[in-house]
Amino acid sequence: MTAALAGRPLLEVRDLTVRFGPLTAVNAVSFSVERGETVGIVGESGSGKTALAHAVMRLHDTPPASYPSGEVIFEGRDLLRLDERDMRAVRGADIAMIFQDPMASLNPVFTIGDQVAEAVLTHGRDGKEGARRRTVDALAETGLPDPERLLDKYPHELSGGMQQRVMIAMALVMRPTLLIADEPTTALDVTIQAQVLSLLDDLRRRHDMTVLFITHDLGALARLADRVLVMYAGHAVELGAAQTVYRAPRMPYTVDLLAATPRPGDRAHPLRPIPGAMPDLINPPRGCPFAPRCRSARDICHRTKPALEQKADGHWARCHLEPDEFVRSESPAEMPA
Amino acid sequence: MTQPVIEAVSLAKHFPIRSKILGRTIGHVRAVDGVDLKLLPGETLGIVGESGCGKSTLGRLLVRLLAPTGGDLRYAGRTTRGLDRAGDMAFRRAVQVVFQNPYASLDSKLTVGRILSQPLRLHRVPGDHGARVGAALERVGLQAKDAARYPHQFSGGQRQRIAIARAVILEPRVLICDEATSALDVSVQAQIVDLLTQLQRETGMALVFIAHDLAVVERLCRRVMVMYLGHTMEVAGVDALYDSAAHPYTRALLAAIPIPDPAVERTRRHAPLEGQVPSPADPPPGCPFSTRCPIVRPRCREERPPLRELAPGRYAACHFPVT
Repeated sequence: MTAALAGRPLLEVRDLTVRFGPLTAVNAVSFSVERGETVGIVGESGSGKTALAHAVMRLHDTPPASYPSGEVIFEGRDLLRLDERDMRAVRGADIAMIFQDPMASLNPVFTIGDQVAEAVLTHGRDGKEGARRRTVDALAETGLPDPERLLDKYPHELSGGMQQRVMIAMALVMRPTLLIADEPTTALDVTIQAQVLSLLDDLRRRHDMTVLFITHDLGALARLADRVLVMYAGHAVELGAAQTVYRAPRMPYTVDLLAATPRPGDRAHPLRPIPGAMPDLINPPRGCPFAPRCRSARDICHRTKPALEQKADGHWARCHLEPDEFVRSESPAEMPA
Repeated sequence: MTQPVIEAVSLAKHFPIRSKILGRTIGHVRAVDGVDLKLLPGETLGIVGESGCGKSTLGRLLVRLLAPTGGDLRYAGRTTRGLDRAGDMAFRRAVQVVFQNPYASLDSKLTVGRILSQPLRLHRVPGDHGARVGAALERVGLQAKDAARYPHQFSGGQRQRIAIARAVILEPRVLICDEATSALDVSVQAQIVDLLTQLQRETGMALVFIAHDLAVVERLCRRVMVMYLGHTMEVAGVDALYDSAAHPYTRALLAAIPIPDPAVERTRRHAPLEGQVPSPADPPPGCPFSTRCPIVRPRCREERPPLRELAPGRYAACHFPVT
């Protein structure tokens, strides 16, 4: 790290917009990730969380995707402006990614050993023997038993949980500075999900890794995230320390998302659905993107879009209202305070 | 004692594994391996377990989309084996199903009105079908005029409402939901959970909710059954099961659910269950859970524990249940 970069966040996304033709998937989003921290991006389908993560890795084909505004500053360089060769050097080596569906991401006709070693050989840092050693070490680190024997196996010979461990080994083999995990546990059973979350938690502590964790699951997020970015209809709607966002949200969407999420052991409160569905991203509403579904919405919410404002130290939210103005239940009888 | 509307007696479904060359049967996948179940009128039963536990196969057996290879399925006290056409129609009218994927389960070429009136025509229901379709749509929170639209014009949550409307239009005695909310976002999932709760209360139909998500089942069901490798591990009322599970597998499942609260989640002790579910084609001898059980003893690896009643209404298949 050069002196000029000291004290700067590892990743700074500024005013990033991602469009697919007429559809705005990510709408002027800004946030940063400090070295060693885990930032969680949470949202439902169509929130733009995956489009945002893929933009950081520049995985979108342009066209159909375009970046009408924004910068993605990683270690002092704007990734959106790197040429493809330099970007390839960043991908895998400095920034690595794990995806939701290991079966779709692993190539069925290559052995596990070849696929994990590929990253090492692509980045040309070691010879064949070195690549093999790194591969075995990476597989062992993810808790896979007997990694030497695994080298010659094919993906279909492994269970879903083991495949996800291979994906993690593949992401970690080059010791990336930033790991982007896109719904890494969504396709897994709950006991396997717990194993993978424990593994990620353990690895990031051991290597002091910076993680961008994308999920729709507020439970999995609670386990790992230091800070949370809540997305809705392409907008960043809330950003803050995980505990604060969960305990004292400043945006009605976050309040409602938490109330709709079943919390194990809590049978006393009925789940509270959010009425309606995500707005059309081609013709978004004029005001706040959440206003059409928001129980607390007032005239101003339908008329003007609120900015993402700092409501308290390090806690940002996009809302015209104060928390004491939020409508928290349909009727007082339904949900006691 | 109330007569169960549906009863499974040692119900089993073994799928043959055939060799690639000669097509000879070389083994069996024991998807459901001897399940006993009594579903009472109007009750809400959750069936939970991880992939490969047999819960979806059991669901398909309960609606007779699959024929059992062992045991018996009874409807209103009578066996469903060798049902004649009239008996089969009566069963299908009384026991309806909603699947996970509302994109696949609705015919995209038909209007919603046509989709909903199909069961009415099939069962030769007299009267004004259009009016019934409109009423069914309104019951699930859509509008009567939506009958003229096509499935692709609706969101995922709305499509699941259409699938539910189709299932309840014949006023079934039993509705079986197989992962009916799993593909939906949480905000929409809560809408569907709400709708099912409301419909169940209004009609008094029995509801079987099959899901991998224990937290959703907890909100919707009064009684819960936990499956593993084709066997029932535990059955109990929701309070007993979630607050003091007797089976170590149930305990492990519950401990694995992350709690949506960082303050709790980050101070909680995490000891995830190791290994994975064994293949149902080659189940371990003894207790199916013995290969992963944190409190396994030698006896568990030799002798399969039967499902025993530990307290009234509370059953577990474990030699050493936690009490």
